[in-house]
Amino acid sequence: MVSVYVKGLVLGALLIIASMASLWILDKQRINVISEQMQQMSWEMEDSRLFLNYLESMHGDKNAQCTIMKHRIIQQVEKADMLARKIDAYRNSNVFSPDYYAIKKTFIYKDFELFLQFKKLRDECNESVNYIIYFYAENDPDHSACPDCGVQASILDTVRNKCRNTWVFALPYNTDIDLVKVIEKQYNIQKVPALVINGERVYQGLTEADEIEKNIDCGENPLE
Amino acid sequence: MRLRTVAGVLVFSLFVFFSIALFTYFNPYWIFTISSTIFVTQAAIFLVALEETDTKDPKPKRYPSLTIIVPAYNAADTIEKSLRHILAMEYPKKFKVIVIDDGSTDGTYEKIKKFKGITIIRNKKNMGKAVSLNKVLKKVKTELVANIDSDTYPSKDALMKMVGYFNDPKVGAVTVLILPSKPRNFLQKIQEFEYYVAFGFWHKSISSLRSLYVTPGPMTIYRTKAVKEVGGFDEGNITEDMEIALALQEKGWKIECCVNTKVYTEVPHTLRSYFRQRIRWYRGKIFNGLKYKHLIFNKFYGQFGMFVFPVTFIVEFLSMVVLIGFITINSKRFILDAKQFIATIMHNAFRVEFLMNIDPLAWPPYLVFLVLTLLLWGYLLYVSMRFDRRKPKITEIPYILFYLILYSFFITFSYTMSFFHELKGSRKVW
Repeated sequence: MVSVYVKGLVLGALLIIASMASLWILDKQRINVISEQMQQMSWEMEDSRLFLNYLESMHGDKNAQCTIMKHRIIQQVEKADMLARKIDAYRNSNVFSPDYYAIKKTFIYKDFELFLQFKKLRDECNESVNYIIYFYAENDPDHSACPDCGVQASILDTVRNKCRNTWVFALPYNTDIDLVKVIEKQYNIQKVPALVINGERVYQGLTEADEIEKNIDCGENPLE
Repeated sequence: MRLRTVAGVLVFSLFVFFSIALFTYFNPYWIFTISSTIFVTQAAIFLVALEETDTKDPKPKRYPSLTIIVPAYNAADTIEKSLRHILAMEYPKKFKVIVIDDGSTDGTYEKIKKFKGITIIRNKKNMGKAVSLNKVLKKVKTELVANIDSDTYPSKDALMKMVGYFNDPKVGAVTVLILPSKPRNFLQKIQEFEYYVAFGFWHKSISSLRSLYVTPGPMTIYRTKAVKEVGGFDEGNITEDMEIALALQEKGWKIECCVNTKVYTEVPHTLRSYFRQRIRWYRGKIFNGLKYKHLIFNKFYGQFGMFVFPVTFIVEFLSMVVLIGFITINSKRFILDAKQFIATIMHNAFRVEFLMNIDPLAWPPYLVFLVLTLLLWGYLLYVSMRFDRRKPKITEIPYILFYLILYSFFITFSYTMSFFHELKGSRKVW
């Protein structure tokens, strides 16, 4: 006869294994969701880029181009923002640690391309939109490397909530991404959090909402 | 300040420090996983033990002579109802009822005097429950002796259902399912579900492993020979009902549990009285554990000594460590940078928090263990309530959920307080 203890241990082990398996499945699911959304983001950006080239090749009306691009790019930027938050949230919920940094890197490159298109929208189409490049400490979930970064992120949220024509593009400070290193050098970024507002005004260290708002033309979301 | 107090506070602080350090330097998920594994495996073993036991009460071959002792101290509110229920219990032989008024000052004696057919003993001043019981025990000549508390209301069939276990001459005591009497407020309703699981599931399954280590005060029937053999009740012990059970286990007596009937007892309805009771229980457990430490990991005492008895202490100790760790993780940010924490709350406009609320994939992973706990303990509750053929009402679901999810924090918190008080040797309060 199999002892009570053996059966109990087996039952206990099965329950724990089932829990670990659920955790693992959830981890996999998270990666799937993010991969899918990143793919979606790639396609939409490719779509916009090619369409823009097409319009230019047709020597069409600049205004018409701008109107079309305005819709697409602003929608994509909003989605990218959600995706960035999702990646960070999922990274925190993760148990078995797949390589989130690789995902983050891929996202940063795509986000930067989106930023270039956005910049074009402001510079060439004279659209009344603002961009803030925000340098933060990467992979710092409990804000021990950059204690002010969490606060700065919250402040930026408040600014965005008020000035609906402003978007934030976050770049990780002091990582192995050459592109970002060049920009850090360009604006002489020494510490985080740091902000570059509309390519002109640079702030280093924690910056309050009203200070930020002095440098932007606070307004409504052009799509609304 | 006494040396014991200082030493106790020091040891407790070291313990807390060790727990915090554990959670700071190791990945907390591994600690949660290991402790969950231990808790779940313990429950799984007891669950299997219960499933393999026949929970039907044995039919009594004979009906031994019985004395019921009712110690009463300032029980004027409850003694009449208690005695009415006791005298209404069915039993083919006439059983003696001896009520001891242990120096009551609230008119308990006057209430007891109203009853006929009972023996009343009156102590001039309060001597304590164990002393009172032992005093009467000397005169008990019946084969069985029962202790019923003065705030306990046994069912009519309690004796008939419990006496059959004494067919086995090795049985030294029989316990029973205990439930709160007329639970009214939130605290009492929660305790109702707790008592189902504690006195239903846990006691029945542990007794099937011959490892029951407490004979609860509200109602237990003992074999007189067994009680006398261990020298009666431990005077001055704040949980003499646990001490005598351990003494019986030490001498090799069996302790059985009947779950097909129930007795009702008054339970605390204020937080203050609740914590007072629990601290007394858990301090008593620690004290008795130390007194009987020679049973732990002692092969002579079989599965009781090698597994059940030590494991309850290990589990309780571990749950304290986990509780401290849980608080540590969630307050680390707050402690390290209060400004950051406040700012995060203040600027919470669009934050990730809202994502967390609606996207299950963003929820913290330890929720999986919470679900596991819910399911497992829910099942234990279901099994326990089935003994009583009790079906929960829809309105009781919030209480059940609170019990399953949050109550263990409560208990572990009480246990931590008890650990602290016992370490520093605080004055004992009833």
